[in-house]
Amino acid sequence: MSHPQANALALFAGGDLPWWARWRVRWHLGACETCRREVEGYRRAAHWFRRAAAELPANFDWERAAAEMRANIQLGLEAGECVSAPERAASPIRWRVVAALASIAVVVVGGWWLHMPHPRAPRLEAPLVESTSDGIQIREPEGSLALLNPRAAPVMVYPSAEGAMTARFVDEETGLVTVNHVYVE
Amino acid sequence: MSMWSRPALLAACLATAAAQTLRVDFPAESPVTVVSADWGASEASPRGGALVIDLHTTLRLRNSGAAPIRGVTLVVLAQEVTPGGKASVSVPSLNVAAGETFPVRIDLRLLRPLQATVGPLVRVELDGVLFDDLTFYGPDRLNSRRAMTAWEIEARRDRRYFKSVLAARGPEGLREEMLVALARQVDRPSLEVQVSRRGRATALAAGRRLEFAFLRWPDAPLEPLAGTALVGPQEARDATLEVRNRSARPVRYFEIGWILRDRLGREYLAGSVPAEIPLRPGEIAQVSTDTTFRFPRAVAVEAMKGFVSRVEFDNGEFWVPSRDRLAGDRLDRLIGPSPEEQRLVNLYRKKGLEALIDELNRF
Repeated sequence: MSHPQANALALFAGGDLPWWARWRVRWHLGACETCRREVEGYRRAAHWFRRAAAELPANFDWERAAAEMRANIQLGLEAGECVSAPERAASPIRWRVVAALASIAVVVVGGWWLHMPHPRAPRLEAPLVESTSDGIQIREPEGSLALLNPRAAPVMVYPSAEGAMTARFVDEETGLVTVNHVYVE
Repeated sequence: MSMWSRPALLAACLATAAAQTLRVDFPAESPVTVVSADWGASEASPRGGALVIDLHTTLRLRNSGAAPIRGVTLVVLAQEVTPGGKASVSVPSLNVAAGETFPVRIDLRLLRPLQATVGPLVRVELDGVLFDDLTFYGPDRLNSRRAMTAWEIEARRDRRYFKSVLAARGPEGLREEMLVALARQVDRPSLEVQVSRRGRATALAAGRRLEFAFLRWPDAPLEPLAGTALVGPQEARDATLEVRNRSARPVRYFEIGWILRDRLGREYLAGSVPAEIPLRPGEIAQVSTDTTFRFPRAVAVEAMKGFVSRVEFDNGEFWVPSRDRLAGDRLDRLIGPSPEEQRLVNLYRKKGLEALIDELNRF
């Protein structure tokens, strides 16, 4: 199975993909657990960054930071102009040919893609335990039982060869350590 | 579907699921009693042909006995949904005096087929309570006595260490130690793993048998002698280990930590290999597992390391590695903090140095 690029998954996680690309990634995620985990990872990272940003000092000078960023971007653009070759104007006729070829390619590739068999998540044969972005869980053919992690705390996960998985974190409200454990027999 | 239409069945499930899903059962003579249960934002929702039930509850428990409580473990059973599995929620590092109450939070998600069931889907029962003097109450069906005792031994080791830092280097020394511990927690490398037993179908055609290199500590009661495991790009399994009891005391249980190193030199704690084997002084035992660690993202494993992470003697006493050993071999970065260190670091992060010093002085 070919997977979307990491940047496409990151943009999908943030809701920043155009509709067609978003649809394609969502279709892929329906059959690919690995990429679903990746997307969840990006969402968690974004959540952490938002939290970290919220903890910036109260007197943080946003105006100054923005001005510095603008200056750096401007500097980069000017440096780029120094080294790039002058642009040639594109011929309108060539653009029409390219657009026509692209349309034909979309129809052909789309027809082929819609008719090809799509991979599905492998069928579960035996119970297993696993860590997910939400917590740790027992997965069996008939269903699953997950013990969930809090969103805001670092979680230590420990697998064990006795067929078990442990997730340990500090409850932000109570300050108590909680150790969740799942086992298969 | 004969009598029930699908929408009617779904509505019935949704209405009854949240209220009747969970039952809490503690023995009548239990030293821990349930004071209240808050059901918070529990909800049920359909997903395709299945029902997803999110259950969030905080049980408030009271220490109805006479001795201070150090830890408690609750069993979470969902036998209709996952007959081959169990779950538990433990709260170690407690310091609950007689008559005091404490919360235990359970956040779980059930995914089950859309069909009517009779009785509660989830049962929560007491598996055990560990007291200050390391005595234990409970059925101990999940060996929670062992786990909670080991955590308590680690907690005492870590409190002793942080107190010694405070005595030798003062509050600023303790602050530095907390910052280092915090950085270790954040930087701990993690590996996505699925664990299954009884040998699922594998893709180990490209795998090979690798030998363990062992960290040998003179003060450890056990000496690892040899070990191998089958390793492929996406899984590691069939670990076999040979250990010798070099102490003068009989051993009844031990755990070996298992570290993987990839081609880029990055190390991860893959897991632990526990073994419940009686081992007299001088005796050698072989351990083999039928467990598969599967890595959803391929890992180019180049080498493996093993170390003795926990030993339980015949009389129920424990040996755990010292902090010096863990730090000397840079294992502290891989295995993460003890539950107590995690709690103390969080206390420092949330309430500051004064609160941490007060807490250390309570023990």
